[in-house]
Parts: sequence; structure tokens; C-alpha cells
Amino acid sequence: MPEIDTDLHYMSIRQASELLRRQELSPVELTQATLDRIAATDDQLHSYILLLKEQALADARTAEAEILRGDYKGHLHGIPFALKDLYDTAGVRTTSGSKVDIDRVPTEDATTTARLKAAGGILMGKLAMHEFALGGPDFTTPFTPARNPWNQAHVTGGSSSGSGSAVAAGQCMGALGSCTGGSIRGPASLCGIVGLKATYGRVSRAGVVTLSWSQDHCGPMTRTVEDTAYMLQAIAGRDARDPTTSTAPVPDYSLSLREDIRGVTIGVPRHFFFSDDPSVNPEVLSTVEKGLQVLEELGANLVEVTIPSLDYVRAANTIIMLSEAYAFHEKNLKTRPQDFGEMVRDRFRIGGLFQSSDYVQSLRCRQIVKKEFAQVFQQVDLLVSPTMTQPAAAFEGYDASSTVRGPSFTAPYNLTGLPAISIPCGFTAGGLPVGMQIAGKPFDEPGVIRAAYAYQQQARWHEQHPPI
Amino acid sequence: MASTSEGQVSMDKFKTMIEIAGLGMTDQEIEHLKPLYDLYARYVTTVHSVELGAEEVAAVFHPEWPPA
Repeated sequence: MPEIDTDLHYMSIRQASELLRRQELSPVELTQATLDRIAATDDQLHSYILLLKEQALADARTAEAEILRGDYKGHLHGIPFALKDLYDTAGVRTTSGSKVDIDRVPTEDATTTARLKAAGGILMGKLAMHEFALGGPDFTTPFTPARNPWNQAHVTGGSSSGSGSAVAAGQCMGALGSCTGGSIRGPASLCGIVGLKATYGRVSRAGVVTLSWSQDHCGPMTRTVEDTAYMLQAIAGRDARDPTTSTAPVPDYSLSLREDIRGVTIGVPRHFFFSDDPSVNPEVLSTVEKGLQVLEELGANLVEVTIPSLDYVRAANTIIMLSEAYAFHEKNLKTRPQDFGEMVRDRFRIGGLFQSSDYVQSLRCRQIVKKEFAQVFQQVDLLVSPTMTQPAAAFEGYDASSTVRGPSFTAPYNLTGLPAISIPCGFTAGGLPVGMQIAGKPFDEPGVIRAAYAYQQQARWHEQHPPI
Repeated sequence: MASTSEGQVSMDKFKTMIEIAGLGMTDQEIEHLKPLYDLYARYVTTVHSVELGAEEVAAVFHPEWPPA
């Protein structure tokens, strides 16, 4: 396997940063290669809502000058990245994928935006997303839904849809997504990339448009685990603008990039994630079973665990999400409902029909779920499962309500706030990516990253690129 | 939420709920929303069926907030 990808746009952040640091590659050259890649592919993929071509090139020239004078800032310096279009960008339109906010221009960067810029990243543009981070691809909004680079007749998953397609197709080296029920890990899984939702409070939500205050998470989406570690390093940590952020020290995540997981105990809640539920695709399960075998071969101890409350996680996650979303969007829903896409308008309205007792019961359910996970994590270091119940669905015949009928494999970690990553673990016979989810204890991002990195180095799915 | 054992409500009840919520929807919109609402209503039934015992909503008071 090649150490350096011959295509600049498919280099990892680690690979490119090494060349940038040694001044063997210019940030301008790298940014131009990324722009060329976007120009060659985005009329098919629709990953970008807004491309910041001139600003990106100007920032790349600045980064080039900084590096040439010896002021190298680290792994993200000169690296092209992009943002889901709900991350505030000062002076740059931020739409949340909705007509409601189509003219909204924030005056201040989100904390995460500012931190990536401060680390020297080159912002390429704003990425497509499901409207207000909910629902599915909706052709009733002003924005064309992103398409899956592995098969453009299929969806990317969401809601961080453009983040998934852009990273997978080499239209940027990393992106930020946001996640309330699986919106980072879902598109990561369906687009064959890495997506990490860190512990609630690890990454600031300040300046990121709200879906559900108590379940929203921000996090990186990249092609490799080490790149996710580098992006997390830049955005993690206490932020006075977000009182829910933790004061816990931020560790050096690069120290977790080692290939040894001998002695790590991995719990597998088979009763929920590997059941014979008809809404779960058997090919997904068999692919992840092979991933579990690899982890075992790497020295992990697999044990079966039971978490009974998983059966009502989705209900609690959804009621809390839609209730909080309704509270956030109520005024616009009542005064300008026509400006919402049909899919999100319907769901937000349902949030307005839940009663206070529904919301409070859901919060009480969450307490039980958290306790059961805490109990299981006394026996195991990590939990592993499929990320999604299905591979990417086709646009044709897409049924958004189908997601309401089956289980969610990602929602448990939004409800509990525990860290979870999705990493590529193979393909279906039809060539669609399958993701494996690894979750850990509160603030054990290092443990999650360590296992994900060990698996990636063995399996090497990240070296495959989509046919576009 | 007033619901049947299946979690679904009658159309009349649904219209009343929408009126109370002040959503200002047309009859056509209400007809359109009802089947989707019936899907989500199962979640309401689920959370109310869980044996929650004395489980509290554990709000945590942070006397140091707002942070310095």
C-alpha cells in the first residue's frame, strides 16, 4: 500500500501536513488541487452550498507565507477543510440548509470555526446538509441534496450530508458535522469515512445552530482516524461561550494512535445491534461481524453484554429532540411555515404536539439508559456495533418515514452523551460502504481513537476511494 | 398526550391538539400530517410504558456558573 496517495486531493491530513511542514508542498498548491477536485465533481455531488474560492486561496497564500518564515502551527496548517452550513462563519452566509435562514450572515465565527482557522486550516466553503439538521434529502428546500460518491443514485445519509460526500470524494481533507441522533456517524458510515461524536461537553456548540440543546454534538469527519484525532485536538476544550463544555483537560489524542489493543475488553450488545429485526440489513451485520473478528485478532477480548433500556432509546431521543427543536423554531414555524421544507416542517410540528409529560418521561428514561451504560462500562472498555441498520438508500423511492419504524444504532450515544466513532469496515456486494461504531466511557476519546486506529491500520478500508 | 393503546388519536382529537398548539394549519395540512404523527405517537406510548420508579430528572446545579 502506498504511504502517500498520488492524488493531492486524496492525501490524508497526516500525509499532507508532513509535506507542508517540510515545505515540499505549498498550501496554495494543495488548495488549488482541492478547488480543481471540487470543480470536477461537485456538479454531480452537490456537496457545497457555498464555495469560498477567493478567500480560500488568499488564506492559503497567508499560510504559505507563515510556513516559509518558520511559523508552522501544526497538523492543520494549510489544510483545506469545510463546514456543515450550520456552523457560523463571520461575514459568510450560514443557511442551515433552509430558506428560513437563506440570507443569514453571522457576525461571529462559531467557536469551532474560529479554532480551526486559528490552527491554520483553510476554509473551502459551506457544505450541504439536511434542513436544520433533521430529516432526509428534501427536494422542497432551495438546496439540491448531496449525492453519495460511491453511487450517486444513493443518498449520503445525514444530516451532515455534504460533509460525508465532500470528505469521501476528496473535495476537502476534513469537515465538521453535527449530530443529534447520528448525523455525523450516519453519513460517515454511508460514505465510507470516519466520523467522531465526542463526549457531550468535549466540543463547543457555541455558534452552531441548535436542533436539540441537550443532545447536539459537534465533531470531525475525515478519511482516516488520525486525521479525526488532529481535528478533534484543534476544536476540543472548554469554551466560555458554551456553558455545557467541560473543564476536563484535553489530552494529546495523537498518543492514542498506536496499533495495540491487546487486553482491551469490548462489549457487544448483540440482543439489540445483531438481532433478527427485519429492518436491519443482514449484509451490514455480516460485514461488521468480520470487523469484530479483526478486533479480536488484534488482541481485544469480546464479551456479550445486555443493555435492556436500548429498546426505548430511540423513543426518548426523538421526543427530546423534536420537543427542543420545536421550542427553538416555534416562532418561525408559526409565522413563516412556508419557508421550511416539507420534511422538517412536518417533524417540527409533531414536536409541538408532544406534551410536557412526554418530554419529562423521556428525560427520566434517559437517566435509566445512562445508568445502564455506566454499569456495562464497569465490565468493558468499549462497545462495538454496526453504525447504521442499512447501507445508503437509493433516492428513487426514498421513504423518510422508514427511519421512524426501525431501531437507531447511533441514538444511544446522543442520549447518553458518550463518545462514539464510525469507521469504514467494508462494502456490500453492491459496492456501498458499511461502518462500524466504537463507543467509549465519558471523555475516553483516547480509548475510542486507539481501537479505531488499530482496526483501520489492519483493515485499511480507508485506502479505497469512490469511483468519481 | 391523549392516545389509544396503539398510540394513535382520532382525527378530531388530532385537530384539537393542533389548535391548542397554535400551529395554524389548514385542513389539508392536517390530513397530510396525521399519518406521520401516528408513526411518532408510538414513541410516546413507549416512554410512558417504561417502569421509571423513582427516577428523577437529574438537574445538576453548578454554583460556579457562569464560568470565569
